[in-house]
Amino acid sequence: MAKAEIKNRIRALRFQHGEMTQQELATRAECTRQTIVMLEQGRYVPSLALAFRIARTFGMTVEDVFEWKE
Amino acid sequence: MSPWIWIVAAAVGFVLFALGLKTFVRGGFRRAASSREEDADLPMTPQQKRAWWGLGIGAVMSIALVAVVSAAGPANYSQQPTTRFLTYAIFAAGFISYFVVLRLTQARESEVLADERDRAIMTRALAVALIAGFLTLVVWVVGLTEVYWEAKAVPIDYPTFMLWTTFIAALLGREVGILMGYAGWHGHGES
Repeated sequence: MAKAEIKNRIRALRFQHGEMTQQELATRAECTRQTIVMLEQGRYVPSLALAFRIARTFGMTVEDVFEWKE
Repeated sequence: MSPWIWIVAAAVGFVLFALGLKTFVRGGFRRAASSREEDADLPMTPQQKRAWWGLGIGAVMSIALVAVVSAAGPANYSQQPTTRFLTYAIFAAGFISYFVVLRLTQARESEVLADERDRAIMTRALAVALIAGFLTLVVWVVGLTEVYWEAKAVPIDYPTFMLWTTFIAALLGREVGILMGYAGWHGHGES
């Protein structure tokens, strides 16, 4: 089975939402700024709970923010 | 002493070591060289700051304890009240310093103290603490067995030293494990 990759649009969405800072997003999604940096660099894949919190911060669904590429 | 005690101890030790190593390697502590430059701009989390402070305090405590015990001589250590008092004072100073650090590295109002990634890294760091504690015990057992083989008895102070050093090694191992986790763990969220 091919390895699946999970991509995200967090960085782009931050800028589309009034140039939200990484710290602002981290505070609203209840995680650390380092986790947001790691997510944006594609070096960390969040749990479902964190993915939902991030998506809701942007007022979107999880699939609008995260993409599963097989 | 029955050789079975050593065989069972060695088997248990081997299983613990193998479990620790498996968690260490499969947990993803391996680090991509390309990620090192990106890490330069990475903000430190409160847990990461605490790990650095803990490592520093633990290192200073260890050096101070070794200096005090070496100056008195391990065999005469318990005969001198001053030396014992100094040892307790070093332990107390170490713990008080660490609690001060915990207070100083509290998360700011807009910050989260620990998220799912921090918790995953801290859990994996326990494997490093386990290995560090186990290796310390191995060094003590092999060393004391070799040195006191003829005497067939170990001076009464040594079990206390074994306890302290294993405790300190496990604490330092945990801090090192946390720092290694932040440096190279690229896992997935689990909750």
